[in-house]
Amino acid sequence: MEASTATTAERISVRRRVGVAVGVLAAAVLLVLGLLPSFTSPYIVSLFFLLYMFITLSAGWNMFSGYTGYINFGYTAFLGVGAYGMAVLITRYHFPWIVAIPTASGLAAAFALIVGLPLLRIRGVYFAIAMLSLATVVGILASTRFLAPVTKGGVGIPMLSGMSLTMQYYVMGLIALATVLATYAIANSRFGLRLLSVREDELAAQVMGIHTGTVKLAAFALSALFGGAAGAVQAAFLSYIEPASVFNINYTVRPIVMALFGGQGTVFGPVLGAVVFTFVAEIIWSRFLALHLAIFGALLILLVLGMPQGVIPWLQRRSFLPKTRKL
Amino acid sequence: MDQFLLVVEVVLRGLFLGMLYALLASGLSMVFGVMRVVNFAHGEFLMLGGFLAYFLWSLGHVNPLLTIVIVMPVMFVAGMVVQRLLVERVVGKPVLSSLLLTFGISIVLMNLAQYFFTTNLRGIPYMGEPAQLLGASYARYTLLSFGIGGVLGTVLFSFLRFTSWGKAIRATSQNAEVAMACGIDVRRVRMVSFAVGAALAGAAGVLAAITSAVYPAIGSIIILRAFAVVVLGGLGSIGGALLGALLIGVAESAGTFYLSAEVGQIIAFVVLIMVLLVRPAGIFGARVEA
Repeated sequence: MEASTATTAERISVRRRVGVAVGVLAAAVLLVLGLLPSFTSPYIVSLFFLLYMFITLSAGWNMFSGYTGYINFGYTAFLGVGAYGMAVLITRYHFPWIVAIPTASGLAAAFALIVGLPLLRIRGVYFAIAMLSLATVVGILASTRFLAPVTKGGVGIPMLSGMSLTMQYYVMGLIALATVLATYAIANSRFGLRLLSVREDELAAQVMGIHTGTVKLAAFALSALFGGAAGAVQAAFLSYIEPASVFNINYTVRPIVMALFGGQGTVFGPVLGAVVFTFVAEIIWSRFLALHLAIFGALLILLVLGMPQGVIPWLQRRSFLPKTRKL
Repeated sequence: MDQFLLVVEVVLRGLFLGMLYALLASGLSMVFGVMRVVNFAHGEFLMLGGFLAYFLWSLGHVNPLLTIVIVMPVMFVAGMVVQRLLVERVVGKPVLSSLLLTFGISIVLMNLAQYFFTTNLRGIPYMGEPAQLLGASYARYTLLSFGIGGVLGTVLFSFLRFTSWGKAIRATSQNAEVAMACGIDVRRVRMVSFAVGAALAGAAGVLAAITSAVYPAIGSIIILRAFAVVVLGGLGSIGGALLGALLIGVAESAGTFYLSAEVGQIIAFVVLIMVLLVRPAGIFGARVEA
């Protein structure tokens, strides 16, 4: 009896020490990242900006698809709506960027609510293809003459957001942080459990009284909110947007690959994946420009065949990491 | 009367276009039926077939029509290799695995084609003279490729209907486990279906090279349209794919003619989304679990 209480106490103190260590480490990383623009080159700042964007996209995609199992293969539609929202609000209505970013993100979420209501009834591979089609449709629509008064058609919109690179860096960083914190909150809430129940067995979830339709729609819109925010800041970063640059299947597939690498349906999997793949992609891109897609494709094939469940679940299964939804 | 002939022309052009989609979509649908894999790389087989035909014609001086006879077996073997080495491994895995795996194959093939063949458009000038049909004139190659597509479609249909391989493919598509219990080598059926699909896509590539041009990215553009066709007809239903292809072809041709070229491009997807809303598994599709 005494021995067992001692182990429990020991365990608690170990857990506390691990908690403190993780906290200190996280604070140190945040401090370095926060000071980064003051001591590095614009190139490094841009690279980390991309990293934050991909953390946002990957975690944002995961928030809906990772937890519900509904594969959103058209996530770039939300990024595109956010980017176009931002560009139009700034160039036509002269919004200050600090108002334009949340408004554009809200537009993306509203768009998700409208399209999600009918589309979320479709399941499995049909849902994936429907979302892919949706993203294609929206991308082409943005370049037609019908939306040209707003989107300027295929010509694109040049814009000056009034944000410096440093400001873009901080804003994207904060959005990435918010996305991860939101995922953490969802993962440890009843809402997160409901999402997981949709993934495991949607019918059983319905039978138990979960309004799966509402739950899915809420997660879908949240996921779009963050995707739209990433798109809005990306628009400021590019300072010129056209349909092909923001409605781009790369913004769908890369975040998915990152989430898959780290572990779908985990909080930190997408972050890990984004860190690894953003830097790997940068190296491949700078060394083997002509063949970078082929190399990325080969890595993707190896990843799917070699570690389809992702790093974090893989480590959890082997008890290197605690089996908790907090990760 | 003129108005009527115009409608006839729009419909005919749509059917001609649809035949190309049909060749691509029937293979795609068959592969999905047999192994429940959505093949993103299917368009790249079209691209490779087209390039092979182009080089056979330009370097080897082979008659453009005869290239089909070489392209189809080559793509058949290529399909067999890709299936056995890669795609077979994701059979029975979640949807995301097969989507990403085949997407990976697709960008590898596309990028290699860009690297080796450059991004130039390559078309084979052949049978460009006009021919009259129902009050409008079409280039001969349009009629020719429609004819070839029709023949290949018929062959595929008879193959599936009357040969023992065809029966095995249909049985596996209906229920792989029961098919296995009946003594069908399901793994070989999967390999052959994939290879037949690749060969058909290769033939579509030859037709694309003759009627317009091929370039490395053609696969990734046309595959989206083929997805729309296949889902419209119902994944796994080959008859549905043929019908869906012709339907989408006509819708696209009408959209391009009456509205604009961009609308023509998106009409396939709009039709697709509408159909999915009413029938979440396509017109002839069986219900598929995730």
